[in-house]
Amino acid sequence: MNRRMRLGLSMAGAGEGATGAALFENILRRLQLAESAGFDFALFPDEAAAAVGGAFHAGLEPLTLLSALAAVTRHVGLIATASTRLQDPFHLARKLASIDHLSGGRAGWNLATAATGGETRNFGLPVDEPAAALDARAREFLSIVRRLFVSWDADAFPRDLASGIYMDRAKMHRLEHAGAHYKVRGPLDVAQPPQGEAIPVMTSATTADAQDFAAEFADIVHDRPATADAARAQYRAVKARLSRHGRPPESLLMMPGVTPLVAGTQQRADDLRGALYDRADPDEGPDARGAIVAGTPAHIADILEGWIASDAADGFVVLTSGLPGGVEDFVALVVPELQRRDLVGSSYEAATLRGYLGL
Amino acid sequence: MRQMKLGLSIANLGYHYAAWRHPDVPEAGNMQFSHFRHCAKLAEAGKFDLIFLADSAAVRDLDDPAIARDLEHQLVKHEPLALLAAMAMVTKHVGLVCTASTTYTEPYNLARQLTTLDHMSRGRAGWNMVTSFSRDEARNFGLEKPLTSDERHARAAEYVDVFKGLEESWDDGALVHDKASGIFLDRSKMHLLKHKGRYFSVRGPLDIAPGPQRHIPVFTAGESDNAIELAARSADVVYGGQPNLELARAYYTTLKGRLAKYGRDHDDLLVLPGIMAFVGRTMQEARDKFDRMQRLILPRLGLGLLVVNGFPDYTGYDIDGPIPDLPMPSTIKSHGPSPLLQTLRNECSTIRELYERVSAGFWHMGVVGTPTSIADLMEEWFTTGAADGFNVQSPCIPVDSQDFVDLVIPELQRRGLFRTEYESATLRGSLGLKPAAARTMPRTRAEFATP
Repeated sequence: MNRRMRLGLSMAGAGEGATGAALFENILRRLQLAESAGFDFALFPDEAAAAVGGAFHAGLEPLTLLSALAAVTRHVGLIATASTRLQDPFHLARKLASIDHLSGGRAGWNLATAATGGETRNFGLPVDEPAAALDARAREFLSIVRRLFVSWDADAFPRDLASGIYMDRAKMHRLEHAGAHYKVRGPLDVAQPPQGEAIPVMTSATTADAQDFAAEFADIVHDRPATADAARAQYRAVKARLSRHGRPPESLLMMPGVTPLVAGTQQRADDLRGALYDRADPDEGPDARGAIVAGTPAHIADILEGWIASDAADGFVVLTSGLPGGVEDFVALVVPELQRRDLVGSSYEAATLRGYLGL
Repeated sequence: MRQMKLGLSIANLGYHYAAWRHPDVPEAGNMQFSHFRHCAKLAEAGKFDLIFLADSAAVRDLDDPAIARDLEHQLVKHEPLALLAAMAMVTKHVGLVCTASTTYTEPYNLARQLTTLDHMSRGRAGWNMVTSFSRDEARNFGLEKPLTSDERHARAAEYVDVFKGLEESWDDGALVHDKASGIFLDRSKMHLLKHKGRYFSVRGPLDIAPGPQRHIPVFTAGESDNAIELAARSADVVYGGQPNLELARAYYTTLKGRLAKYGRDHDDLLVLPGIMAFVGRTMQEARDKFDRMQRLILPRLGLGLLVVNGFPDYTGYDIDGPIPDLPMPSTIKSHGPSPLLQTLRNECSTIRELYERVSAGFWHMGVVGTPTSIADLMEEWFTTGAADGFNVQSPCIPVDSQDFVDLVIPELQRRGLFRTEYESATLRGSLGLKPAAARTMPRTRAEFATP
């Protein structure tokens, strides 16, 4: 049997330049497309600042957005970006736990550890904090959040109508956390979420320190290496670290971003690639698009299958190009090809995001 | 004709201490979206102005055996903004008012979140601004005890200014997003807040387009002088908690009287007291409903709720015997000590009678009656300077909310006291607040003592 390929869809660019309610409608449409195609999750990027010097896109706040989307979707996983530098662990734990309840176990957290320049100015934070300090804060933050999720055992509330016994006090666990950055007494005021303490956590892992962090804590690593070789090197580096934490290789999924350009012929696909280079934003980082996979549906499926077979990826986060032959064509043409090859499923076969990901 | 504004306070399974034991209340509903979807649709069927979600980011201190018995069915719950965002998806008209603390959140985060809710609901978001007085919350956010009232309110005043300032980041028409010309924004219509204050340093602009309401209505509550000052200065709606007409009138008069100081009109601030109503088609039916719920209060819960409401702990005494002569503790409620406690104690002959009285609407207006008698009472409050409307605090949710919608609201409508159709698409519009154009909010200095 083939190794299963996990698929996520990045919601960056899903708004197509709209704002407000129109933006929400565009996002919802994109999400419904992802769900109809059986994507494991949608990833909602975020920056809590307006990039007014560059290509400013008015957005929506992801945690609030996901709460609404949980009510109007049934299957697709919902991964929100939230920075441990800008959030508070008790608040974030409440929101993620609530989203997990509202969605029936589909919440995920893309954990960012830093604040961008714009963000530091909106939150009165120092600029240029050392990576080690951000890393230490993130570790403490994450450990608090995970313990808060299981403040209450799943059977803490017998709710016995006859006796009037609502809760079992012995099944409540207080945190009493006092660390370098946070003091949190607990318990969480939300019942244990469907995914328990294991709401999936995604991180970036391009530096050695970030790879150590990911190997210890993350369920998914998502970056945007431009080539298969770069992806393979990162794959090896992260997976090699897992054993130090007693984790088997399959307990963490490497899901690089790829930008598909789907066309009927290779020539047309190569033209699209040229167009993509031409319209690249000068402010755009070198790895904004990940690997660009251009070609016919069968050719793209070959490339993706090759990445999986050669340990460059366990799955992909599909990015939007803003050109024809993008996400819509990927869903219409490439996903069926992947299904035919038995690389991805044709229906949701588990109850939770964790289940979809085989974690 | 002036009409009442009505909010439905959805406190999970209800305001009654035994609410979850009512046979028609879903006992696990506090974590189930189906329960809240049902309630949201009910609020809209009743033409309520808004759904109100109270919040405290903590579980009450269960190491205190008395508090441990207080409203167990509200111990765990949804985070209110997440829940309201989901409820926005299943409603079209009703306002969605979310409680959020100025002490434990960041204004940039909250402005993003509430503006997002405003967009997704097409103009129905509201913010209930609280300063968080409880020790239990303090201990979840790195403090041993809450900040002083002065400090909390000074921070809140700065916070709400930052919040409103961020709402003015973009003039109308600033976000052009003209695909043909490639012009996305008109920078001349963008405003950096550049706020540097005692508590916050926020540059702006908000990275979200202005919401349909431009300025999200601000709710608040409280009877302390600090709370009243903050309400008069910065709030659009006050959630009142007065148990009788006389106190409610005094509170109303005090609040409205302080508006002129901030250049605001009488109608710029609405006062909506809470009302907890047991409704029956006949007086007998109402009394039976009430008695049935009272019998479901376990004595250990009754003793707990007395402590929570500022009475001594009578644990160990015969609950059907006389009330022991214990000293009254200084109250732990936000309201401050009240002579009402002593008066009520003197009126009751047993501990059971005392906790049953307290459970039936002591800190707010509690009423057992028919649609006519309840509408009479509401009309009297509404027409004699005690209320601009009410927050309905159903004893059992959704059953008593359903009865309120089916029985009381038609009576209010028949009298012309309440709308029969929504007249506006936004919460601000439903409440009849002045439209908030860009950059028109008054700028006034905080009046709080610097701690």
